[in-house]
Amino acid sequence: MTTADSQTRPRTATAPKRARAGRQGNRVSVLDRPGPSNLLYILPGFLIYGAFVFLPILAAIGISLTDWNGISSPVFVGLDNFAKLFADDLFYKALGNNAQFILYYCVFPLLIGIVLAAILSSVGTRQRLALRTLFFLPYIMPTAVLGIIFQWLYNPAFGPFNQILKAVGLGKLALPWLGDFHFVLPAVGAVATWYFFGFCMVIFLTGIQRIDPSLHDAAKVDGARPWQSFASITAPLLLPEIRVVLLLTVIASIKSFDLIFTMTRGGPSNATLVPNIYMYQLGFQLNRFGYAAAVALIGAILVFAVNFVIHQTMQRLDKVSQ
Amino acid sequence: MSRLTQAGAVLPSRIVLWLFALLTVVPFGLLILTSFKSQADLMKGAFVLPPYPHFENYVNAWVDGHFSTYFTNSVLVVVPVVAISTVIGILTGFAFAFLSFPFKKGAFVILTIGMMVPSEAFIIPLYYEMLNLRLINTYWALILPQVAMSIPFATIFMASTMRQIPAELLEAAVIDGATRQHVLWGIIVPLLRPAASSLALFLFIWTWNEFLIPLILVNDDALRTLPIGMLFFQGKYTVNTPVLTAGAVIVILPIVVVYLAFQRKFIEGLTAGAAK
Amino acid sequence: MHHTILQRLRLKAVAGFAAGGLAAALSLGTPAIAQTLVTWDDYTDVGQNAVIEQLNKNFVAAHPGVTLNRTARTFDDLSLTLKLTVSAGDGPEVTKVNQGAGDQGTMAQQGLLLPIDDYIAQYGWDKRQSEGILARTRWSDKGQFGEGPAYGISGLGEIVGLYYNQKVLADAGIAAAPASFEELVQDVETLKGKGVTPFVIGTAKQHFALHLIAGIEQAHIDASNRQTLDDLVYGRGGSFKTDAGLAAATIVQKWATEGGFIDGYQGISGDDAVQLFVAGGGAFLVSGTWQFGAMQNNPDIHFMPVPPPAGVTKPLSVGGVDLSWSITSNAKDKATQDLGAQYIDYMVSPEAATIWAEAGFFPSTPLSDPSVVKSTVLSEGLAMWKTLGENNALGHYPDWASPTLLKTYDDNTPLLLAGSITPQAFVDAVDADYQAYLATKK
Repeated sequence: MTTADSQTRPRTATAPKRARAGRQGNRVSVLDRPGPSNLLYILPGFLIYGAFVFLPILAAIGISLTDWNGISSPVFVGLDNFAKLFADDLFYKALGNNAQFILYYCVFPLLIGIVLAAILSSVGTRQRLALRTLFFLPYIMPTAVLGIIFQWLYNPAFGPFNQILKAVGLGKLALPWLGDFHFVLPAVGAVATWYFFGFCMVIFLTGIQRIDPSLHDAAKVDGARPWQSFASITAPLLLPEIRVVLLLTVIASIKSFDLIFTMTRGGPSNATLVPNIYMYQLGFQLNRFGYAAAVALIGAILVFAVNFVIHQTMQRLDKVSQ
Repeated sequence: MSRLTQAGAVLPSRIVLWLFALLTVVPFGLLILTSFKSQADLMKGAFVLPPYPHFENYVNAWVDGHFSTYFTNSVLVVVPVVAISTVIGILTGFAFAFLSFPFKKGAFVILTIGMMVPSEAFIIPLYYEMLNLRLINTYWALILPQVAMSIPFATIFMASTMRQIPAELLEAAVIDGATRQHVLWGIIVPLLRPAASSLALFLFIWTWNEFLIPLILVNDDALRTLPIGMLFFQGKYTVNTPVLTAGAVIVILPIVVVYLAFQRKFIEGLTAGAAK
Repeated sequence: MHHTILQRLRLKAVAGFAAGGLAAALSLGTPAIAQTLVTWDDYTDVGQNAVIEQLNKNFVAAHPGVTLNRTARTFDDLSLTLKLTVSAGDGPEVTKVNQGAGDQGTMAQQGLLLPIDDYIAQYGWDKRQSEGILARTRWSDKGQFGEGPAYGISGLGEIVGLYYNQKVLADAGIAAAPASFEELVQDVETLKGKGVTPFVIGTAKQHFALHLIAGIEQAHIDASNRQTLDDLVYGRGGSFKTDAGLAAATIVQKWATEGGFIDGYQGISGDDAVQLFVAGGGAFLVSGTWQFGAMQNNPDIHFMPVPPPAGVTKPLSVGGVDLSWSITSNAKDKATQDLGAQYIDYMVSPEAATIWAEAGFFPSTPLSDPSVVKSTVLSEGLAMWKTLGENNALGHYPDWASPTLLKTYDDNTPLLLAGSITPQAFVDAVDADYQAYLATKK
């Protein structure tokens, strides 16, 4: 992933060896031994992983090449499912919704996180630690339970949210959030932002704390305002953290299921449908397991692709900023 | 900068800070407040305090909602998953950090694939596999797949932390004639303690919150874990919001307690590992 | 090196829990002996749950040596997991199954359910329930719905009808419940004028919009003309593009977009709507008899058929029976199957019917003693049941017509209610789904 370790640890005589070891290690170390004894260390892990994750994934690939209702024998149909997928309006809708969700899963939390981290870094230690603990709280919650809780909060008849709006005279805004075609996606997205912003902030906070404060002092002497100093010094140096945050949140948005499912089941009328929920419906409600597996595969490929793009972009930005 | 402009520069940021703090806290506050109300109290308004706290909501949730069963099951699943995954993470991480073996790069890719593919994609084949192994509707159906799903992250996290260890330390031990086992368990693991406990905390939270695996792989109500229990509870109690919120508090409370107890370690471990 | 207390505790706990987990694992997954019956049902509602627990207790008391292993699953979840588990040789021996092509039809054709005609004859179930009702669980070898062996029988009846709050109507100046559909439309306008919510409805969860549209649609169909509907639902052919269908979609859209529905209905669930209605939040609510448990808490609330338009003397009411009890392929030997049949027999017995009625629910088997019925809505419902039986006017849930129709309805009703699609487009979408299904059957 990143070579941030070269910035955090003082260089020692053996540093070159370790710096290179930061990448995918096929570095030989003093603990290495010839012969098969090395394999013993990876055996238990790969056995369990292979049996309960990798094998099922391979099976899923196989199923995606068939037509299967879950009960009778699968019928081989080759790439037919994938062909159907590329002509499937509902799938594109799901992808489009996912693209919009990325705004709420990644962009907003990132921006909020970075700003909050910048503010927090200038606050006293005790306050900072307390607020850091607080802001991280949403992230540890089970998203399924969060979905149930926010569903209640958004309920136009019984929920507190609309009651508050009415109480402060904003009754016009008291919409049926999770039932409104235009606002349901932002409403669900808002929960995702609420869930992730503390997580992002915490990562950025650590990043900020490793930045040499003398850089900021120098800027202040030159007359820079705090936000100028932030934009030109802090932000660029946070590129590694930005990259990690982007990676993790984008992957989370593509894998998203629990939160959206418990709040809207993908509705109303597919307004919040995302590929994972579509896959679930196809498989478990419509019994089209082959097609569902194809959707799952495409979703996984998307995750890879996005991962790759972010990785490449960040590497290029990394080089540019140096 | 004069003191006035300094104060002026600080105030908006303080407001922003406390605004977000409020936004974070209010849902939890409302949740807890509502859990102590009666249904009649609800109608009076979201922020109105109830005349007296209705603790029976929690009793109802615990008993009628079978939350005692679900809680026990969650514990019975999470503890083995976290323990086994951490140990395997250490072993496999050790291999990736320091050893060479054939197809190492390929093995790494295989692990990463597992991290990126959502569990919905392979849950059906997994179901049939569990069925054939006669493990469906058992605790193993919940433990083994989740161990498997934790292995990639555990491995990568442990491996990158291990690589931070100064090579001289390891070299010295080997020169002194220490076996690899001793180096691993006697030297590396103690140094790994903070990272390993962060890993354990992560795995604890992810496994505690897991939704799809318990939903599909287990039918028996006696084996359900808390998040699934919560879902069914909602199906039964949609209209009894106070009891519903009491149930939600029961589900969330253990995580919050664990988090608050270990939050420093947790966050530090997260940020250290995430940067790798 | 020293372990932290946490680590030490965790190690001890791991050992303890691993042993416990192993023991649990070994003890579960036992083969079914004739003495244990694994049942699944969908009685997750608090009231229903109490009744089934009582019934199960009675059954076990009457059959010493028998244990019941019961799991309750919500309707959606049951549909989800039942086919998967039974086809994999796991799961219940006796279960509730949703009738129609999606669940029961598919399972019957795959041999996952046991034909029960022999038991019907043996226990005389056909004396307790009419053929019109039993036909709903029949699937022929060729996959024809409505004929062939029967695969299940139900304990509860269901009718979709119009709940009305007498007091709310009276306060708005409406002296009596609407006797015709035209009066209902008029009443809605009157209520709107007085600022009273005409229809309490919630579409975020459950299927209230579907039942409203279907209820109105079938009230426009006279029992003498029911063949078309029967053909549709039993997959014999036909089209959903009917005048009644269009009329229903049009009026419902009008109500939804012009203030006939409660404010914010899109964001509240059906269950929420029931609670609001019971609390006096509006004049009308269209739903089924399964709401009796909640409705009986407000004595002002009454139940009646959706009133027919002029010219229809014997209107159909959407309904049927609740999910049927069936015996699955997991009941491998005759002894288990017989035990399953005994269980089902008890579930549809007059004694069970009485217990359901006492709790305010709607049994499909006639009551031996009607006086046990204490709730107004239940007696009204039972009277309706009798009339519908005599007139052969029990309609159908339209989504039974194709395995994907429920989803099609769920996807399109929000659009219809929001005014995003025309009623014609709505009817076309429903019909398109059905025609696609017919094409696959050929």
